[in-house]
Amino acid sequence: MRKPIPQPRARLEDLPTQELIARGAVLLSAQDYKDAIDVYKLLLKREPQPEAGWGESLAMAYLERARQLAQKAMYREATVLWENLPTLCGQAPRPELYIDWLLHSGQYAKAMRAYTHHATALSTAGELETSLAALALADQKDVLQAIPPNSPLRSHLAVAQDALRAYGQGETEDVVRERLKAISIRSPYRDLRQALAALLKLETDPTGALALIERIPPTSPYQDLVELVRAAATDPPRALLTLAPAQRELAGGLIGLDARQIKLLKDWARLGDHPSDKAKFEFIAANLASFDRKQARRACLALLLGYPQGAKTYTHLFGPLPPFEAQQLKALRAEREDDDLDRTLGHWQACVALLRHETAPDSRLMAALILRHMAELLNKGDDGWDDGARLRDCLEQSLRFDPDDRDVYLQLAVLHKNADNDKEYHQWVEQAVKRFPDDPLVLLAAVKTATARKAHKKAAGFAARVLELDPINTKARTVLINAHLAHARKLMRADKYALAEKELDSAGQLERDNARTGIVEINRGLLALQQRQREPGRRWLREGVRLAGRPLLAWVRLAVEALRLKLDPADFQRDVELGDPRRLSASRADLLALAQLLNAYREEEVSNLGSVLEDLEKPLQRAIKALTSEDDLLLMCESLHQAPHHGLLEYAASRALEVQPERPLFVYYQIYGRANGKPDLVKDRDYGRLEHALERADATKDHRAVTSITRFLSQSPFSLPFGPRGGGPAPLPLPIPMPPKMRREIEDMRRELERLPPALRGRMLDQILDELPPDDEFPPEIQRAIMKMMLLGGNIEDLMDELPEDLPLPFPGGRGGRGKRRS
Amino acid sequence: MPNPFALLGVAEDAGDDAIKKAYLQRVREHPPERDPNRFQAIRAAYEAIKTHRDRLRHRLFHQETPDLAELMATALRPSDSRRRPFEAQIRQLLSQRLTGLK
Repeated sequence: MRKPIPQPRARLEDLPTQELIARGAVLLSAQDYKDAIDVYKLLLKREPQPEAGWGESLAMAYLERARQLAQKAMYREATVLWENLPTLCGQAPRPELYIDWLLHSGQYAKAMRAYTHHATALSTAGELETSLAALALADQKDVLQAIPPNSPLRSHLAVAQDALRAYGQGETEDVVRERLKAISIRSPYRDLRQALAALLKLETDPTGALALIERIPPTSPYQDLVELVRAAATDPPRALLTLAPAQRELAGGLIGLDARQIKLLKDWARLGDHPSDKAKFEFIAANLASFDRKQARRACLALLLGYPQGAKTYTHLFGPLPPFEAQQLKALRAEREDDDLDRTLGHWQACVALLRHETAPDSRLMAALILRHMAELLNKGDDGWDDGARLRDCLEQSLRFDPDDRDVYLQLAVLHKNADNDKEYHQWVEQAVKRFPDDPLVLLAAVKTATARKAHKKAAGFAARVLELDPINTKARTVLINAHLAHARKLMRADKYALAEKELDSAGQLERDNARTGIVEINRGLLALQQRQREPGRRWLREGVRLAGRPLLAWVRLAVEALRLKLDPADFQRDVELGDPRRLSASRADLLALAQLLNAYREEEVSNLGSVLEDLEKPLQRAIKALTSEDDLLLMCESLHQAPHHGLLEYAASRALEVQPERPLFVYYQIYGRANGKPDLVKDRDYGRLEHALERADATKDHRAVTSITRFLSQSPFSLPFGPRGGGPAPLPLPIPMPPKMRREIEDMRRELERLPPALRGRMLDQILDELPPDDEFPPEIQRAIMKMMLLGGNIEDLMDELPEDLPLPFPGGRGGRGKRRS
Repeated sequence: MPNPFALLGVAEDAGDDAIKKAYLQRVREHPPERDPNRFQAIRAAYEAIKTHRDRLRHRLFHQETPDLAELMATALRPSDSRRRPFEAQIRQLLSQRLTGLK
């Protein structure tokens, strides 16, 4: 298709007048003054009579165009346009602008003539006079010669010059002040008076100088002096960088810098706002004599991190780097460049090795700090896999250098606890107690381990010690109460009722009146009932229920306490008059309080909380259905997941998915609940959803969901081959999600292989591995290694060792990243 | 993070007491209710170098790119011999301002 030929634009001259008028208005409002001038020139030609008003419009267009030019610092061009105004339009609007442009373009004689000529029409004579006064002061001959004889510009000039001379020649403060007083506040030289006063004040009181310059208007020609005072008074030397070179030199002198320092300042300014490490390094090296040598050395050393090419110059200036610093630099550089973790750790390990032989007082502490730093790196670098053993080893080593870091003991205890190394967990807490016998945090950890070992007396002893040290420690108080209660239960189960009562008395005495939960009273009631004291038993139980407050919580407390004594809560239902638990009503507040209570029980390591919730399933479902907040639903899901109660968990997660569809964590909770927490019961359709949720969680960096889903999927019975061999360390789960059907098929194959004699088993295995279908996700080497391990057993470390070194591992959460970290 | 020693205005070999004193002085100058961001920075600086152990840790693992202003602050420490600008220099400054020349 041929392009349409553009219509030629009509010439202005050919346009009818009405159209020209409309176009002129449009151009003026669009601030297109250049074209507007052409339109109004033509209109003036067509209708020259003054009443048509085209002269005024043309004048306006000219003036605005001249202003546009002046804004671009084209002052001379602006003055030419303005000078054409009287001839073209018969007008001379805003002469003060014209004079200002004349001054800016250095046409002083012309400016003074215009000033005299338009004296009566000037609207801002004050500002103009200040500028002219400044020029007079600056000895501009054209200005000086043209000043009218009776003008204040002339009559006040001598006193202004006097004051300036007195200041510039270094007269005393009093003399200069005397001269400044002679300049009247109405004088066109008043800004000079203010600027000189500020410069003078700067010598004794920089803050006072700042207050004085505030009174000088921003349009004043003395603004360069204002900037100078501001920079010298605020934050030298950085503020000096903002000044123009001439100002900077004057400001340097004002604050007492010598010529060499001013030169240094100049060189620094040349570096710009954000100099590179190289530029900084070279600047320091070139001006080394000006700096504190120690400070300069440290700065250069730090810069070597980003500018390793400076190493040679560094050696030349400061001598060779000591071995420790060289190694430290390598380690820091490796960290900065996010290098291979093992290589980074290797550099730090080399630092430790060097420090081991040092005798300097801090070397042992430094070695310990480095080892703890290595542990942090291992912790951060862990992307779903367990570097726990190395991490614990670093921390343990660090204590050999510095045994006084309490947190490291506690950290080690927690790490061992998380790795299910109960023996080591208790040992580290014991060591911490030995080292820090009066530390409440350590003692609280000791309470926890003692409770976990059912050493209630010991736990109570530790908690009592914490309360001695810190009487308002609520955690210790709770722990101590729980320890007495636990001991009481133990005695009740052994039918030692009198001793149990004593323990309950101790627990009751520790409870604060405003924080009674009813748990002591419930246990008193159960104790009385066990001794067949029906009436006191009922009384105590009712008191306990009353103190528990909410009926829902009261029921849970009663049920848990009964189960702990191996009693059936239903037996006491009538005694406490709580009614049928299935008909209880529960509010949002009840649910939140329940979640808190379940968490507290879990901390006490109470198991089987799920069975307690059985009777409450209906009221809880009704209350969960009414929840609308995502946070509330998450809290409920977490509590039910931990309890665990799978039915209610599925229910809560389904409700949560109505509020927040497809949030990976809720999908996980729903499927986990539906499958009763057993991965092999996950249906194929749910498996797909779970896999999809894992991908989304991975993409959105929802680490919690990634960890939960991965851990769940790796817990199938089929993960047995990855279990410990020969009592070795805890198994490392293989985070490869696998559909249940496939898992069952592989499990069948494994059983088949187990039944075969060894020689035949090997042949059969090779055949299976050779027939593996190609896979998009896994390279053949990995596919074979995984399958072999799944069929024969082994652990993840063996698998890693079998793989070629540079093979990227496509596991979720570790795609590529792991391959980089593991050499 | 800016150099915590410079931020608190203490020497790199300052001890616990001097650092605490400088920290409290800075907090008085920039109280949290008036200058929360500055206060946060001061607090972080204090936490980074509060104890001997913290200072060692800082030196071992936090080699931040040095700020030249800190180095220059020492190099440009003014002497007592302040010099006023001469009359001619002020005149020149005025003239340059009015003609737009710098």
